[in-house]
Amino acid sequence: MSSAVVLSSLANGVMLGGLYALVALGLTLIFGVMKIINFAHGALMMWAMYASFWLAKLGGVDPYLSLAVTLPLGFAVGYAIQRAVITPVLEAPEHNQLLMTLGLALFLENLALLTFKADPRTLLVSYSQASVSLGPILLSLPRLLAFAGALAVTLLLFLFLKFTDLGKALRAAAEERDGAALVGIPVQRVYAVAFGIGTACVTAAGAMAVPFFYVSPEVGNTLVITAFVVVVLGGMGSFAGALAGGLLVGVVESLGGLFVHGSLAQIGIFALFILVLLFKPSGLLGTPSA
Amino acid sequence: MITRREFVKGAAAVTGSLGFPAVLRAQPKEILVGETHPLTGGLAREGNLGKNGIEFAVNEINAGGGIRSMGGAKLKLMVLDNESKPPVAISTIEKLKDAGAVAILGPYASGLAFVTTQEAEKYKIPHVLDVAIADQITERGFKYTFRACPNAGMGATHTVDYLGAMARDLKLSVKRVVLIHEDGIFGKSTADTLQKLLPGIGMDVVERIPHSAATQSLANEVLRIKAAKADIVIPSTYYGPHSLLLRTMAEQRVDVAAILSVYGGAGSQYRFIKDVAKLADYMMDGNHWYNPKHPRIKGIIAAFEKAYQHPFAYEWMLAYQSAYVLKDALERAASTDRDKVRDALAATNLKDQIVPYPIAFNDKGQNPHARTLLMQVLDQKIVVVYPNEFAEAKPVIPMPAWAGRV
Repeated sequence: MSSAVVLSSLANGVMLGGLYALVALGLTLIFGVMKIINFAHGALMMWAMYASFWLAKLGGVDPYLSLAVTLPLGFAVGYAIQRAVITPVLEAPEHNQLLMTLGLALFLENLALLTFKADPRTLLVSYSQASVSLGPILLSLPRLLAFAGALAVTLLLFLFLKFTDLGKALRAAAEERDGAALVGIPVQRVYAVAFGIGTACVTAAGAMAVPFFYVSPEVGNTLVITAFVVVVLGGMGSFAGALAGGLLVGVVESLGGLFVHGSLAQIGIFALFILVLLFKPSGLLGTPSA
Repeated sequence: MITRREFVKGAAAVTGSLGFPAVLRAQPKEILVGETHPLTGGLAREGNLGKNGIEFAVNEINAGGGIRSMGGAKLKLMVLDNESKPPVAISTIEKLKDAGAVAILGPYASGLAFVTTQEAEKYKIPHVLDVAIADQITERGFKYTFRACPNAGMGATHTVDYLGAMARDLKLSVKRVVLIHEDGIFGKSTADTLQKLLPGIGMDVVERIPHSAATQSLANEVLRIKAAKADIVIPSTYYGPHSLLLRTMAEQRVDVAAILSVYGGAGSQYRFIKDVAKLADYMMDGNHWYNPKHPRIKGIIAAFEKAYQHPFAYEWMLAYQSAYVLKDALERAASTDRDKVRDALAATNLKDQIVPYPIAFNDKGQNPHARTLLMQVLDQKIVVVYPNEFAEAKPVIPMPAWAGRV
């Protein structure tokens, strides 16, 4: 196998990993703050992809520009879901919360099936097939853009959590709910904001994936299962962990696919996953107590 | 007490015996035809195309005077949704049996047909398949299953034949073939057949690349195609990965002489051309298709497009054809007795159909004359390029390099 092939595969892995990281970021944020595992994450991403797809198809809006509309919308949808559906089960046993988000996922998927039909669709934008050459390898421009976008969103989110009042409130509520409430943080509202931001993350990931991927009612599942692995691998609730885990999974999957074929390509990821769970159950960058 | 219905019956009998048979013939009865299709669920698109095709055919048949041998009796459809699920498909057959359907059309997918044919066999109801190409469906010794279209193995064989003939006719120096297939039963069995047949036309399978049907990226697979220096890439996979393959090859500028699929998920699909525009150009596909030389075909396609606002798709055409196969059998059986209809179906001998082959059934219920054609997307249109007797254009092979067109 030539070095160019391995290098290309590595680069593809890194680029795909960036997107995985962004999907995982939303999951890990929601989990970190509320200890809720959001099974509807993939379905929300799929709806975001359809939103960008149709804005491009009908309105001629570039998927990246469509973020101006879909990001606030994604945030609002997440906020509303938290308020309407999640809050009532926050105190309920964990399995009820799981069932609630799973039910939400099934509802959203079937609604999409009803609305958009089962047809997978692809969107071509002017730069869909463009590539950037880097030494011996060709990088696909839309994937590169998605990678850069994912990094940018991650950085913004990090700064937001670190330096803004709302960000600090989020972290406080994540760490100690009752304490946060005692010092006057409106915990329920902060929770809704967290769900909103988590949904906005996956909205961004969806829009950036549209130019090089396809859209179908089941598309969210494929990406989100990987994102779950990323979250656990990186450490539940850990931001840096999501980023590192995303990149790692992307690379392992891509290089693994060079040597092991087809459905087996994911064997590397799951082997890694099991090893991490065995030897560092809190994840690569998670705190042991979490 | 005499009910109204009994009174009418009696009266009709009396009138009949009085010598007015014309009155009876002027009131043709209806013939109940059953149909099971996946109208919702994962196969909803294909199922609805099939439903439209049958509806379109039945409207034509009824407008043209119904079944003449039965006094112009009209066909009446009973359409049931099997939700793309085999257990539901079983129950649709039971319902159609109870409703008294004379025969059953559908169900598009092989996974559904395995169970619907079994149920139909149990209840001795003739079942004319529209698509459902898995070879094994007609290998189980069933007497009531009929399939007019080519099966999976026939499709692979024909496509390899066309490729061989094309290489010979155009004196192509193509030898290195890469097979890329989804690793489920459809992709794998097609690739197995191809691997067996390709050496027979002097081609080498230099690499065989399986991929998961749910894959998110085919970047690695395309790198391997590039490394293998392929002349011809043969995908057998579903729409999503097929589309992804083409786009990744264009993106990585992997140039080959031809991308030629066998029953390709995105092959011979106008929706794919709509989706990816000029990227679809030059793509080849061995698949079900109409006979482009048939005098009525243009009119039928135009009428369908007008009625359903949908560009041509072979899924509806095969369903349409299956309704005509049944109509012909009913005409000859002159009866709604299921066994008589079955016998008439077994004796089918149809020529001059819109499909490019005559229809007759062997003792397994498969039409041995059925065949696929080889199509190529040229200038955003799907045209037949092989075999010569149906060709609308010369194949463009090798295809132009990506660099000049994306």
